Amino acid sequence: MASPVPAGGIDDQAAQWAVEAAYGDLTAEGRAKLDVWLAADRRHRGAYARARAVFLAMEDAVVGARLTATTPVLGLVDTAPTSTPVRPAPTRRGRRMVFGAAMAASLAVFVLVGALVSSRTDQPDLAAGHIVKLEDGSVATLQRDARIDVVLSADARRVTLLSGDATFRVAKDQARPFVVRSGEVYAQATGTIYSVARVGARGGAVKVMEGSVLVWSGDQRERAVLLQAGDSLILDPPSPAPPRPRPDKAARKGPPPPSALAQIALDDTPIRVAVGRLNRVNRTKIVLADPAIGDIRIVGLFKADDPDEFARMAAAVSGGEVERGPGVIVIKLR
Amino acid sequence: MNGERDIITAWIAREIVPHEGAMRKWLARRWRGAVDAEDVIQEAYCRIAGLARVDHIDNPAAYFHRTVHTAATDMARRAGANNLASMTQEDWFGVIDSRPLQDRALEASEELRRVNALLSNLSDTCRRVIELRRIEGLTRKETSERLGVSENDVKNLLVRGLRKVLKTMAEQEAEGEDREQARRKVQANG
Repeated sequence: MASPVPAGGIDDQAAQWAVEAAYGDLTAEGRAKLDVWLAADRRHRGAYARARAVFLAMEDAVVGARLTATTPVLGLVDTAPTSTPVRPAPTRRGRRMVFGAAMAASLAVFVLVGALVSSRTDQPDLAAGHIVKLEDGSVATLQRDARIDVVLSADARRVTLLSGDATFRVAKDQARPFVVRSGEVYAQATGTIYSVARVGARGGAVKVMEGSVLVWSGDQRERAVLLQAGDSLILDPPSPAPPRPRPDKAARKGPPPPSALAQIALDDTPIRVAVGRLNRVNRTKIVLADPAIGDIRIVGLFKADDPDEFARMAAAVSGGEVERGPGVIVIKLR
Repeated sequence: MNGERDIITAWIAREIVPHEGAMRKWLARRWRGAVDAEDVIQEAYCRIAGLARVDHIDNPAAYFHRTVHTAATDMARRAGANNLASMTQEDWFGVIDSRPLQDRALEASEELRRVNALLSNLSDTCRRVIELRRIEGLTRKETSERLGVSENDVKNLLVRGLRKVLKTMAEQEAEGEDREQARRKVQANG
C-alpha cells in the first residue's frame, strides 16, 4: 500500500505527541494541532494510541526496575539468612543485572503462586453478598458475617477486615492506594477487583479477579508479592516474637486440624523450617543434603501431604536437585 | 485528561503491547508482505483505542490477534489483494494465549526479556526523568530544575527514548522476517 508519509515518520510524530500528552501540559493550541493531526489519518490515531501505551509500558519498566533495584529482593527467596539490600549498581549494565536477578527471584514466586490457584475453590458469590458503597466510589461486597472498618484519608484508603471475607471493586485513584488489612496481612491495589478473607487470628487469603494486587505480611512490605488476576495467596503469619516458628510448638498440639493439614502456607520461611513441618506429617521424609539449602527462604502455599511437590519447588528455588530414595527425598546442591 | 481514555491506554500498555512482537512475527509469516505490517498494527491500535470499554475482554491477546487479523483482511481487500487465505486452526492457536497456568513462568521470562529490551533502549538520564515523574511526581518544569536542563531537553530525552523503543518494537518483525527468509534460503539451497 502506498504511504504518503513513511511509517517511521508517523511513529516519530506520535512519540512527540504522546510525551506531551503524558505530561498533561499541552496548550490549547497544541491540543488543537494534535486533534488536527489525529483527524488527518487513521494511522495517526493508531500510532498515537500505540505510542501512549508504549510510553506507559516504558515508564512502568523503569519504575519496576527502580523499585526492584532498591528493595532487597522482591518477594521471596534469599540466599542468605539475613538479607542485605541490593543497591543499584552505578553502571547501567550493573543495574540491569540486579533487576534481572530480582526478576528471576520473583519468577520463583510466580511459579509458587501459580501452584496455589486451584487450592481455593470457595470463590465468594458476588450476588449473595451485602453490598457497601464506599465514599470513594469503591464497592465492598461482604460475605456472611463479614465486618469491615473503613478509613478514607487524603493519601490512603484503608479498610480493615475484622471478620469473614469481602470482595472489593476498587475505584481507580492512583494517588490513594487502597489497602485491605486482614490480621497481619495487607493487600494493596489502586483500581482492581479482589477478595480478602480472614484466616485464623493473623492471616488472610487474597484472591485477585481483575488487575493486580500487592500482598505482604506485617511490616515486610518490601517483600510483597504481586498477584495478578486469577492468582490467590493465603498467608498465615506466625506470631511475631520468634522469627521462625518453633517446631516443637506445633508438635505438642497433637494432630493438627484438617484444614491446617491440607495446606502449609509459607511466608518467607527458611526451607529448613518448612521441611520440619512437612516431615512431621508425612511418612516420606525430606532430607537436606546441604545445610545452605535450609537457610534459603521460600514463599507459597503447599499441600502438606505432597512432599514431592514441595521438594521440587524447594530445589527449583535453591538451584538444587531432587534425588529420591526409599522413604526419603533428598534435596542437594548440584 | 480524560479518565476513561487513560484506563484504556493503561490496559493497552499492560495487555496489548506485550503481544505486539508476536503479532508482528505472525503478520510477517502469515501475510508475507501482502499488507504493510506497520499500517496493520496502527490500524489495530486505532480500533482498540476506539473501544469505549475493555472490561468485557477476557483474553486480550486473542482479542488483539483477532483485531490484527480483521484489520489485515480489510486492508488487503481494499488493496485488491486476491491471495487471501482463511486462517487455519494452527494460525489461531499459534498466537492465542490459551496456555495453562504452569506456562506462566515461561511467559514471565519472556516478559523479563521484553522489559529488559525496553530498558536497554533508554539512557540513564531518560530513566532518571521517568523516575522523577513517576516516583517523585515532578512536573516537567520541576524535573528540568532538578536536572539542570531545559524543559525542552526533558521532553526531547523522553521523545528520543520513546522513539527508540517504538523502533525496536517495529524491528522485531523485520527480525522474524529475516530469519524466515534465511530459513527458506537454506531450504532452497539444501
